[in-house]
Amino acid sequence: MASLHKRGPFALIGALLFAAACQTSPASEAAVLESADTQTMTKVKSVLAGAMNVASVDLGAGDPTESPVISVLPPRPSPYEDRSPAMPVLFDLVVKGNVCYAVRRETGEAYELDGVACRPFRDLP
Amino acid sequence: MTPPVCPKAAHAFFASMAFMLAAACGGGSDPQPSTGSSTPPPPTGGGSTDPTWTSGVYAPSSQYVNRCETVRTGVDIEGDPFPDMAGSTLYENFFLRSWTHETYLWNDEVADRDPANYNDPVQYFAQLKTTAQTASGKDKDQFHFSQPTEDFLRERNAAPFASYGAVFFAFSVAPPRDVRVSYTEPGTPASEEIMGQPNLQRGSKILEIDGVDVVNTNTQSEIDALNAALFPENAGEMHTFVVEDPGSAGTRTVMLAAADISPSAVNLTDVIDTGTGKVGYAHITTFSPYDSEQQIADAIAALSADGVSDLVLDLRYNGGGLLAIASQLGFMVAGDAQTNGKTFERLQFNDDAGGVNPVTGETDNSTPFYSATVGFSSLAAGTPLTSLDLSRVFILTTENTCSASESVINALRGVDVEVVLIGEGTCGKPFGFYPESNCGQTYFSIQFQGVNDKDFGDYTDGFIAANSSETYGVRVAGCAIADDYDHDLGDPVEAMLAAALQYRDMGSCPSPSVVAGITTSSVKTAEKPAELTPGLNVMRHNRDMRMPE
Repeated sequence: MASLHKRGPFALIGALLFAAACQTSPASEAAVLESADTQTMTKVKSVLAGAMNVASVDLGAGDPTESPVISVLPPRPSPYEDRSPAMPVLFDLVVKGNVCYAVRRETGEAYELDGVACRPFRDLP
Repeated sequence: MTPPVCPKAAHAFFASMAFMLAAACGGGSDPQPSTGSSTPPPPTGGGSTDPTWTSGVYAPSSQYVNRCETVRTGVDIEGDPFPDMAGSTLYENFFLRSWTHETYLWNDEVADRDPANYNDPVQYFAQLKTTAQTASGKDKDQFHFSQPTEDFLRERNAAPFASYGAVFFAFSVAPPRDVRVSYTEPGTPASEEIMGQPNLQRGSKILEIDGVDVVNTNTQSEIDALNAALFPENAGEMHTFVVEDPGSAGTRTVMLAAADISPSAVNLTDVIDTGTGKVGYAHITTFSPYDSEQQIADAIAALSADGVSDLVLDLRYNGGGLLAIASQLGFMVAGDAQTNGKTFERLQFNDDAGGVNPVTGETDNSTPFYSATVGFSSLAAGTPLTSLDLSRVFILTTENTCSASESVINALRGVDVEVVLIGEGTCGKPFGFYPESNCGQTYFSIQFQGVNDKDFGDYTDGFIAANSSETYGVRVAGCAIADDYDHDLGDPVEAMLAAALQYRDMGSCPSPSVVAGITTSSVKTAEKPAELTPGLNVMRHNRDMRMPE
């Protein structure tokens, strides 16, 4: 189990592919964004800020058109937080039908990315 | 009992997988839109009855939170609306009392004082701490403080900041002052070379700034000017320094223009070919910036590619930061075989919390040895980390080696990696907190203690080398060596690094006479980081988190 969680995203991708393979109805599957332009990312960040109950969020570096995971960075530690357990919050991108969702990994809560286009991760070359 | 490895992450994985499988295989569940906030609504304001104090009886802090004497309106600098409601100083005090009772690590050591007897929440908060002392006689809680929320938010959003790229240390803040350069950042005004000579170098003694005598001045206006010059407010500020370099009888004059600088986590790496194997050296100054994840990963990967068989981690100025990144470093030292299934650090809370984090509500409070990136940096979350798979590591320390930096020492000892400690005793802070803001003030109250895989975390008097003359502290194999300002960091003759190399070769420490042979003016037993004036810490880049006594 330890090796699974330590390679979480990769294991997750495997599970998602498996899930896609056994679908019997319009299925959810791992996705990436069609575009990471400013307009798209503004929409994504707005949804994720709502998910985090804050006015705005900073995203970890990474290309959401290539990776099905988006990380939301915690607030920067202040100078006095010398032992901070803060961690990024990971959201898995998922598409179901034509609707794209960001699924908070630690809770499973899904947030619709209204007006954001996704495509299945498996379609990546 | 050894906690399971990262059950939080495992739960996270399964939560997602469960959702996916259900959706994909006919489970019939669509993605469940979140209802948004799970935070309970704030209490309605304008209560007509003031709270009253009954000794030993504590209402939930949620009854008093954000009930403010002075109500702020609008949004803070992060864009979040102020949550303030009409209240009073009494409400603010009651909040602090209940919150302390709920979350303070030593809540059963806090005297219960009537909040009505205090007309300033900051003063009341100052009383809400233990007065116990450690074995050495220092205060058990040296870390209790608060600051205006405006400052708290500004500081955590203020990177990069104006600097020369030099870290200063004051050995003496009273005349005759002794202010030195601890190290410089590569590629900054401080390290820029003019005709082969860096503007500032490790050990440079600051004698004069803009014509003000650093060593002897005693007027407040000149001290203010010194502080202003040492810690420029804005990029582009220009100041003139007269310095004396180590080993030099003469002085130099340098002009430095401040620039916006983000300090690097990895200041220097090197490989020392000893003839008995390659020894890697890494000077890591912080675990705080998010990109320290990638910087440290890249540094260790490079040392691995160079084929090092030993590692000297220079954490002498590392005041800590993010536990996850400290944990990654622990993994990169020890490797999977020694860390798989083990805990880097587990947080312990007050006895009333019953194993539940009283701040977050989480039941799993273990940080594993992360073997992959976690999403802080430009490396995609889940990128495997390179490990050196060492059964021994040399760690260079001073009193500024603190908190998450000490976690690295403790965690590696917890999985039976031999830690050889070379240097001065560490600061002794196995504790941490979650800053809590209420009514414009942000409070820092110790809420957890970190323990390693063997459940050990009692190092409030720091880790000290086995041959240290100190009475208190957790003794670790190695050598007590003073910081050597005569030589550059990473130089094999620098006293701490030289001692590490000797210990590696011969299993012994340098004799006192050898250590004493280093220029005494440049070898100092570090005093507590000091201020020229209150509020401006000379150790700006590597703070000692203890507050001035």
